[in-house]
Amino acid sequence: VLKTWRNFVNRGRIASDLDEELASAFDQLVSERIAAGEAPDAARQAVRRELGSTPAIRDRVRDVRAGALVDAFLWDVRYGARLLGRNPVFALTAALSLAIGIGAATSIFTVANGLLLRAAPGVADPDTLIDISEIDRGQPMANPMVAYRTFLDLRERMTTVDGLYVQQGVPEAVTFGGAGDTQRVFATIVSSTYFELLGIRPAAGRLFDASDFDETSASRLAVLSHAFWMHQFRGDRAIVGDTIVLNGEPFGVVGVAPEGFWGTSVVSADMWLLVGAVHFDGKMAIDHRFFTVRDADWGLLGARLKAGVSRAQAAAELDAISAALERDYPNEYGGRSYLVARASPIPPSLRFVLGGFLAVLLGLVSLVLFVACANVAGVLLARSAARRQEIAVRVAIGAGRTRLVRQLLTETLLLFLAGGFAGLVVARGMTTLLLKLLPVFPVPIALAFPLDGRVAASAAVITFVAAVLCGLAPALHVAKADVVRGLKADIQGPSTGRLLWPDENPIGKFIRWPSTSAEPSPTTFQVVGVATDVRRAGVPVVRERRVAAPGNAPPVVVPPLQSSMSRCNSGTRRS
Amino acid sequence: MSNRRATLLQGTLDLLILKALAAGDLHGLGVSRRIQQLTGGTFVVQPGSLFPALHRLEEAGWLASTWDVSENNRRAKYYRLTRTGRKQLVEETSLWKQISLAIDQALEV
Repeated sequence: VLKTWRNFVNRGRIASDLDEELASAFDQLVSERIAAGEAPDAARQAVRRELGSTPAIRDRVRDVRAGALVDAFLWDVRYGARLLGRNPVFALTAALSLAIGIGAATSIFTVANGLLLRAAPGVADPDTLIDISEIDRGQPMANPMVAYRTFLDLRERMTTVDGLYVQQGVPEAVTFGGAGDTQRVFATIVSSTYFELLGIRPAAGRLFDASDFDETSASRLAVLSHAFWMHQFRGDRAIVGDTIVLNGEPFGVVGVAPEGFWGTSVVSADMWLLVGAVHFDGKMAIDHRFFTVRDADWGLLGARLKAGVSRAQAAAELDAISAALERDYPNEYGGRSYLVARASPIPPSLRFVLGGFLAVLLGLVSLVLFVACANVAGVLLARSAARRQEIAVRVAIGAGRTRLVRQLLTETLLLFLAGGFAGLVVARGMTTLLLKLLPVFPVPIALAFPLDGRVAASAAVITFVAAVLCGLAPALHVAKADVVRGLKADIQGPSTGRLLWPDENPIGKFIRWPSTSAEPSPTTFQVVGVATDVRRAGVPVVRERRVAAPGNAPPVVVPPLQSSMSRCNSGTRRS
Repeated sequence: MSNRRATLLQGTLDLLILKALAAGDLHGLGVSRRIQQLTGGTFVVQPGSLFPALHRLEEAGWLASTWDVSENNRRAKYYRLTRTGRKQLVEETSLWKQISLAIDQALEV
């Protein structure tokens, strides 16, 4: 690797050294011949014959150097970029259609990532955080919420976790302010363990901690969300320790949550209250059944695993606990069990539903991507037919088949790279749009769809797979091209208007183009039909007549074809 | 014949280059001539094989190179054996002797 890097950095010097080395050998041979009495011109010619093609030697030396592949790849990239630059309409259209396909698939993945695979933003060490759903046995897609008493029962019995927290599943609408100046805000009631287990640090003051009580009617304390703090109090730190009025009762503000944290579910609360804020009569009244019985749907459970404990171990313990609970309280816990999963904004028991929905969407979107790929593959194929002559010349002066395929794949990859990056931008736009288009829910909703490493990786994989799938067929097709026929086509002039022979369409083996199918009905195939039309229409635009040197070096020194062909026939050079 | 000679050369080219440089530093053409001379004219190394091989051996660390003035007063790239190159020469020589002995035996039966 070090050598590769060194050769890469010094590649200019290495190349000029090599040139000088060869020139020096050439000069010496010539001067020896002159000394032996030959005429200078004749001597030079003889030496040239003796040494053979200098560019070919240079190529071969370059191939033995470490990092030869990197060099070749760079040539390919440069050459491919030049070709694409010369046909901007083709490049833009192709990249755009790919961007839509890749962008759509990436958007769906981004949503899945944000909702199912990532913990809520702001929490520390998300790998050891788990969500726990209560389900009826045999009905894994049930309501995930538990009664407060269940939280207490599980907290008492679980040993595989550092602690358990519970948060109200649906936030409480409360009236904020007093005496004529009131507004409705949303408060989520949480256990005192909530912030500590999540590892959240306050933006001001303190958050709830072990010094707070978890008994109902025990405390009237509030933690404000950062957004509410900024919006309502303009970020004034003096509010910490002050009193606010909720439902006509005074609450002490102990602190402010950090920016970017809005809770661990998709609901964003303006503030968090302790279970101690709940009392069953008066203005802050909550249905007392949530806190007195064991089979109510009130809160969402989460926990922090002890160091070294796996989710499976926690799940196994919960199985044992649920069996014990069923024994102790057969009426309340009959048929109940618990589902454990990595923490994410969606409770475990609802992830099947959402995951299935997103999978269906992903399937639909894959069709779009497939059509885009077929489209681009068609155009590439047409291009390759138009480039037959260029390829033939390359083969004639000694380019190997793998080398050609590699170069053509690089060109395709370049195209897809542009499409992939544009796709990420499209995905970003689409998810932003999605957030804007969300319907109005009765409670405030907050979703985060960050373009994190996982999303970028998925886009890269999607792009790469698509590129190989639709670049390979044209590339192989081109590399198969018959040299003699290609060169002859040049003599006859390529403007015969016949660019694809029916038997030469490799994609035709996999896809029936609508022009040949009897009933082109669904939309998909109509879009493919557009693809074929583009393919036909695109041909004259993308014709490429430039002659390139073997192994893809830029100098366009084309030796007389007759002599190089005879060399080629005696044995194909590996490149 | 020339084809067969070339294939014969392929396996032994590295060894011959190392051997040619064992007596002293040479530039590319010099290496090719020394080989021709050492083998009594049996092996003629074409430039198309010679230069890639020289660079490959340099890359492997068996040869080092310096620019110097050649006999006709022109700058030329001179190759010399490195310490690992010498070790390699000893190793390859003994390996070659084994092979050659074995093949001789096989052919004499």
